[in-house]
Amino acid sequence: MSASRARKVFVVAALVVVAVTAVLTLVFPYGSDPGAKVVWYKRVPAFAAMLGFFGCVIMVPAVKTLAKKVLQRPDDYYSAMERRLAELTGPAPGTSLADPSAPSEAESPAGEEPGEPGKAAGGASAVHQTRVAKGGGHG
Amino acid sequence: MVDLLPPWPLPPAAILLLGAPLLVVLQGTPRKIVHLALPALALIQVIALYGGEHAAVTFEWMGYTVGLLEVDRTRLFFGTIFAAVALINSMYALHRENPVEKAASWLYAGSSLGVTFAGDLLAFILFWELMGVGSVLLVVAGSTARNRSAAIRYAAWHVLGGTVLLAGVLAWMIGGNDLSITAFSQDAGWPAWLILFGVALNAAVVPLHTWLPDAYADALPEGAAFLAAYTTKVAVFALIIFFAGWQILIWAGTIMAIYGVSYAIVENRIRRILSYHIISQVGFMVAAIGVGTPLALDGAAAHAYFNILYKGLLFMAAGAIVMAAGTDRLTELGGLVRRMPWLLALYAVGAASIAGVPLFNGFVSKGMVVGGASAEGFYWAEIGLLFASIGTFLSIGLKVIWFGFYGKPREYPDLEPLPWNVWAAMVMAAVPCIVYGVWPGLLYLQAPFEATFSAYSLHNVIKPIELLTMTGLGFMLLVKVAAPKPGFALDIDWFVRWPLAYAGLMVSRGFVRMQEAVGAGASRLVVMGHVLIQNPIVAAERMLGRGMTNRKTGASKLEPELESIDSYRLPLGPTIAVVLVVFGIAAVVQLVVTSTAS
Repeated sequence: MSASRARKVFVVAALVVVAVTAVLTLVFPYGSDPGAKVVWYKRVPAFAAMLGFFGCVIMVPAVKTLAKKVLQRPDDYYSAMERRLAELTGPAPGTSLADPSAPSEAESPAGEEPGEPGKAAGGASAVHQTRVAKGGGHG
Repeated sequence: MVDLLPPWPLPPAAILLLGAPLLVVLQGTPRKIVHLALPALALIQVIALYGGEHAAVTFEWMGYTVGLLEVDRTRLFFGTIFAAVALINSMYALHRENPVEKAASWLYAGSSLGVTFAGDLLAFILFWELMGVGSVLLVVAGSTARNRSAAIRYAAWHVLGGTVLLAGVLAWMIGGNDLSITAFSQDAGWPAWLILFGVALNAAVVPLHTWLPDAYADALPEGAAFLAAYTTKVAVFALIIFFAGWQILIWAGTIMAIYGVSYAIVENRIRRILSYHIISQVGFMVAAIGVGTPLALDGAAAHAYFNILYKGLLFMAAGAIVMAAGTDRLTELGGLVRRMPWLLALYAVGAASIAGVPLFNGFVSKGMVVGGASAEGFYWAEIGLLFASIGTFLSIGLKVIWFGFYGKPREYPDLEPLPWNVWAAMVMAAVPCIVYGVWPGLLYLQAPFEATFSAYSLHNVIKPIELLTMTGLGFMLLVKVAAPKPGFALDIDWFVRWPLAYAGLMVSRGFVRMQEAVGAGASRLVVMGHVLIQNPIVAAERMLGRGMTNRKTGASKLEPELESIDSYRLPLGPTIAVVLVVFGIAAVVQLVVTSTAS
């Protein structure tokens, strides 16, 4: 069975199902259930079917458009953001490459001396710098 | 049956909490036996507690009595499923040999059982915090950098929630109330609101929900199965016993239900879709708790009970996909059905249950929740929850199956066969999904508030059939629009992770700069004082001569001899004069002081 034919069969089957349930709603109106309160939309035949169809047709494009225009981001968005945060806030004050295991930066050879204030710490990560800032706060 | 099992006064939590160290010590087959036997014992103990009277278990602690075992229908109902899912999830994790992860999972499950059977607020909060510890360890057990940073955020959120909860309990106690666990009335004052905040955070009530998709989607498959079962559902239990009938919860729950499915529609990763659906499904429960009638409360409890089963099943299936194919991104999956048809069958049972297809358990509990709201005249909540049901079926039922299992077939060179215990665990979760759906009478026997509900009345059956059929039709029309895209959708935690993180970093740097400036100032003061004592003339000259540097060369304009303290001294004569003047002043002062004293 080809895909388009399967699709047609599904559409017809769905419509038949809903037609049957709609007729059932007309024949056995809501409220014949024990303890049920009657409100207008429960007596409308195929109300849930319409809700399902229009809900789907409205919700999917609306949410997808909102995501596409505003919310969608690549998977590494937050890790890239953490790097950007580090760049934007600059090196932590009073810190340098106090960590001797860290690779030395070309532009600040003097920075390898621990406790030298105000030296640029190059491209080390924000996490690293905050850790160093805590340890290197020699007032 | 019950007579054969005397209800020993043993808190079920104790079995898992005391047994957890065994998982660290033992290895191989003995560990596997313990890993299955103890959760089974805990489940048997919970079932034994149905058997009626037993002694309460308490201990004295700093002058307070802490109740560890209190039993009623609600507690037993939740206790049963919490113990059962501990067994199912332990089966799922049986092949793992990471001792910390397994011990953490029992710490987490055990303390959840502890919360459930807590006899007073003290025991409640004790186990509540312990649960947070266990879950953080489970998140961090994934051991990637992403897990670690997610665990820090997760811990921060739960420390916030736990602290506010503790503050609420203390305020409640100081207000002259005893620590027994009772429902709060809506005018109970701000201590109750603090407690509500703490519980709502664990229930992932929007906007306190972002820790959930953040942590669950990247946790280990075995850890995620545990995480999906406990935190939110224990919070639902707490909401039922404390806040039944608080109408604000109807709003909160309906918003959660729609918010969760909206995100699930755009997400690409299966486990993020499932995570957002936890928020959505818990929204159904929260809304029903707000309605507060026996039918709605039974609906909330049953939905939690069933949700643990089908959501656990879905998380286990998604975890199985990750284990086998190495990813859960729908854009990188497709055609899985050819390789893993049985996985599709099990996943489909979970999907049908969560969507509320008749003959599956979600149909029964969702009917109770929606019917409960409708019976009390909360029609907007009913429509809102039905609307959310559309989204549930769309993303879990249609999107994942269409694009993950069918769709564009892909090669899976690294597809690994799944261990037998993974299959066994999924079957253990899938069977009750169907059993409770076909025989909802089993549920009514257990249900805590003993409401009457006929799930299979004509209109209760017609409604989901119409809704789901036409949702399917809509999906077919929009299949291209609904196709998953790479990436993820920002949630409101962006505000915490970007502007707030930036501000926090700047503030902390500001403090460091301040500290540094104070330090530099102090050391300059010390140096100047030193010079002043050693040679006042040089100090004065230096102070006056400050800034007298040649702008071009930067050379000092001071006399060269002033550069050193020792190179410039006063001649002898003026020195003696200064000494005499100082002594003279001292003598005069002495004279004045002694004369006024006499």
